[in-house]
Amino acid sequence: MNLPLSQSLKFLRYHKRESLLFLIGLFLGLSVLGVVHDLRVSFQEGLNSKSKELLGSDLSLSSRVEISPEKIAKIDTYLNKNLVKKIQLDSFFSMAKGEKARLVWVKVLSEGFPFYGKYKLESDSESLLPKPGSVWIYPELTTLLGVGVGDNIKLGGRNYLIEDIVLDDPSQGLSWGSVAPRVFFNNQDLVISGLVQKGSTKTTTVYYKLSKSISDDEVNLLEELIDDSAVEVTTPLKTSQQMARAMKYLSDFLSLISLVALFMAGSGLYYLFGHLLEKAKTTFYLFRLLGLNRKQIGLILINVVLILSFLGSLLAFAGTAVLLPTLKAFLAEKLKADFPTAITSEIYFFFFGLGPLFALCMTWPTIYKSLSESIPNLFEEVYKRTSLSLSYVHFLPGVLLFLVLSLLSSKSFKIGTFFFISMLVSSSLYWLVFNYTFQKIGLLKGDRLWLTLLSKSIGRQYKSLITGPVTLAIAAMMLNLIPQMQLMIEQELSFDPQSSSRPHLFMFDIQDEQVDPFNQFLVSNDLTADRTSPMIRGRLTKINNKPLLVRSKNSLTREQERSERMKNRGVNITYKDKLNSDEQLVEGEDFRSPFEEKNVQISLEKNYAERIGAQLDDILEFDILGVPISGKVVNFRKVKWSSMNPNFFITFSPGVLEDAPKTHLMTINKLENAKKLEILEKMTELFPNVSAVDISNVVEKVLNVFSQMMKALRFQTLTTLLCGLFVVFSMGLNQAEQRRTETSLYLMLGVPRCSLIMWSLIEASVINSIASIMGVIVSFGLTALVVFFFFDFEVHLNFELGLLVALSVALFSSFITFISQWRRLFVPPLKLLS
Amino acid sequence: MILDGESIFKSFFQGKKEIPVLKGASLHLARGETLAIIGKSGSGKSTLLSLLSGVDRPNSGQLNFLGKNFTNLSENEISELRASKMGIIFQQFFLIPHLTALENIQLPLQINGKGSQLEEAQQWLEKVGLADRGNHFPDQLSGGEKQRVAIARALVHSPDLVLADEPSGSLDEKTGKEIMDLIFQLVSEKMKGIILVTHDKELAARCDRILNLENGVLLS
Repeated sequence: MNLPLSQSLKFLRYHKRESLLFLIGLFLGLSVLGVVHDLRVSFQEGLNSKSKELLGSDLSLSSRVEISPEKIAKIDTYLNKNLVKKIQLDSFFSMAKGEKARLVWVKVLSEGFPFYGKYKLESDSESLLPKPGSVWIYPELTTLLGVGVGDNIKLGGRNYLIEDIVLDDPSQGLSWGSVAPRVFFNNQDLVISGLVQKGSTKTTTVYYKLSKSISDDEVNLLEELIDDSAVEVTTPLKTSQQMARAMKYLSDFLSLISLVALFMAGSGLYYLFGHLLEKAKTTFYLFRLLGLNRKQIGLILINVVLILSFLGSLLAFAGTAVLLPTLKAFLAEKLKADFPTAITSEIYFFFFGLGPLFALCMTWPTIYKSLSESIPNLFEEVYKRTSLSLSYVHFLPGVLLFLVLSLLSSKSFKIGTFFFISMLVSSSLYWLVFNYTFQKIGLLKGDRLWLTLLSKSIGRQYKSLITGPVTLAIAAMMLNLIPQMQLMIEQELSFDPQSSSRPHLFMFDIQDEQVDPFNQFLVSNDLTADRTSPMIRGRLTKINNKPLLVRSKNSLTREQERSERMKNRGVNITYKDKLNSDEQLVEGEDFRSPFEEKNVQISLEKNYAERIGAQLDDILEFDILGVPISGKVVNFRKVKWSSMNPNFFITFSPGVLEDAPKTHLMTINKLENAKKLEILEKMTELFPNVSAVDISNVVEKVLNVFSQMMKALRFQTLTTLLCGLFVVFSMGLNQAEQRRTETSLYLMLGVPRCSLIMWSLIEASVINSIASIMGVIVSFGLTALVVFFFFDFEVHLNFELGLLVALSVALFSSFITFISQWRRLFVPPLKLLS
Repeated sequence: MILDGESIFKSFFQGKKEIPVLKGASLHLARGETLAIIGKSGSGKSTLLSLLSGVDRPNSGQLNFLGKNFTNLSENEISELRASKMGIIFQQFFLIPHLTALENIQLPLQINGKGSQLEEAQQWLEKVGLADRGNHFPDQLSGGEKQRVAIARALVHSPDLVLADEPSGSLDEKTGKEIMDLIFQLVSEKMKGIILVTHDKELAARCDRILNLENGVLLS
């Protein structure tokens, strides 16, 4: 065995306690992040493995506007011999009425479709599609509509027999509970049902069964052949990735919180290793005196870190391998999602690749410091140890790793950078504040012995004390941040049935000629429409006369993905002469008369404009049912989407779209529940093609999903507390070791043991309380920033909750510190002296 | 000649004030010779030792070790030279705490690329009377035992020069005498040169020559 390796092993053998703490720290940090990563990969793998069932075909073209037969013919020609079978089907929203009425998503099935996958029916029937005149429904509709198998439901003015209940829908990836549950419908009924009318909100899809799968390059080629931003070319893999999007949002945020835990554990490793090197300083001086050069000593230290990180990774891997399958089985059951419960192969790389890299980055500043020091004169009776300041440059690898992991975890440049900067700024702030505060505590003077000792203990050791409070403050910050955000978002979305600030019913697909009769219908029921907005479907084709670049091969970040999605779909446009109350002009000017075809003015929602890359004064060209219409961007506006009112990304000035084929959206703001149900039933009878969304129902569903996500996030934040407590405990142990002589001297000098215990408790409480309070204060600021920048809500902070978090963290951490000092405080003085 | 030092100057700064410690000290050591350097506390003995061991460098003057001028060597070259040709005994023992007594003795052999040389190290343990203490860590040994291990560690690789800084200074009289007997016996057996730094005149008298460090210069 070579010298550096054998010395590393002997070094570790001797420093067992420090090594064990290092392993625990690494185990905690890696396992938390590893579990989230594995869940994310498994979920995607689960969806990928059944991706053909999810799409039902090998390839599909879908669009919310009609796909021209010429374009379909181009694709057919390209696919040629590869094409086995093809079918074109529609899916759309509709009102369904049993005992009660509500919005459903109608999915049309046809003979031989889906090409892959099979619906599991309650009756265990082997049927592949409902009989003509019959439908299959999702289980929740039996309650929502008050119907069962054998009953009739009304769709589009005609009655349909409920033939069966769909227990397992292969085209649904994850069950969060849907806003519009599905009804399956036979294609033969579509024409006579009258459900789909001009301008109805429907999606037309052409499904292809192929003899062999097509590659990504071929998909790009097909997209070029179609040359239409409104038509989406989808493969099974793309479908599974889209299905996973909701879960990805959650897992991305879970990853970010676990990153906090990882880096808190990392700061613990930094502290522990620094302490270990400080303790073993003389050993390394001696190594150099005995003839080892810096490189060899560097190798010894790096070996120590690598051995520990390998063992830590192994421990994390073993723990994960034992616990994760059970956790995954539980989640698969809970989410009704089908994903493999075995641990993924990526986790090997994750633990054994990231683990050592992370440990090296965290310990590098102390290793470098140790190697840079010159050997002191050991011949002096009391030799002076050199004490170099740590160079900030050597923290860069750790900081960069944190940045890269933040970006990779969030899959968003904006969120990743915001997270990284927030963590960096808050940690630096804590460091500065605690430095200042602890020094000031050192200046406190008083007659009481405990106060004098407390001030000297904190004030004179403040540098070595700081890591624990900083990590504790971060834990308190995260623990307060998540519930504060949850409360604020819930408050913003909460739905008061008595309030008229938000629509209670949201109607769409109202045909042009139905607007007046619909208004009369409302008047006859003592109601009026609070807002009516025309909606025209079109596609954005050019910006400043340049055709829109609609495809790019790979989207790295969530922003790029969103930008692609924005470009790759048809758009809904409205026209009006001024902004609504829930819109706010942020750049440019209001529309100016005269409103005429020569002077088409366009207002864009600010974020949408950013995503498509439009600037003020740009000329945008739209294809409105084959007619090109151009206009100039005159303003950007912010929209309060949480108002739930009809709002649009694109608004035209009046005078140009009035004659275009369109439908209308209407909202009714104040509506009693009983009246709402009555209106929905009547509306379904009188206007079968019109759909209505019960907003309270949507809000309830959104809040339900949100609440489930927040539960997961809150649970995850506990891991940050665990890591914070680990650092506090490690520091406590080290301080106990350093203060053994001091404690024994106090005892020898006659200080009662109970006083020592009391002093220790006071010191821990003071430090941990300052950290917790500071963490909570910063979390208030951070909550406000997050809500302001990412949600654009009003900021309401819950101070009672903050106080509760600060108190709990302070109490709990003080208890942990006390436990760590146990041996020092309760061992007989003579034993301590020995 | 093992060591040849001529007009060595060394000073330190306290703030902006220069404090001269060695003001032209000169010394020479022939093979097999024992040399004692005596001086009062603060006379610069430790500084001189740090220069002789190559840990620090003089401000001016010549310091040749086995014909090589320390001032012309890189840090790594000095480390190699120290590893192979020098043995150092400290007043405070300075054993590596995470190595056993035997492993402490093996270490110089390993550093010099001679492998673990278990037998050789064990022989040295026996020579210093600690045959049964090889698996003990330094914190399980008494002061005298630690110094015996330190002596074995300083001599195991047959260095040309042994630098001994008050080797009996931290020990009681009886143990100190035993330790010094051992050092002189081993050095004479191996025909090594030794520089012994002490303020104990009786001990110094056992050496071939005595130099007194006074006012920064070495006087006979």
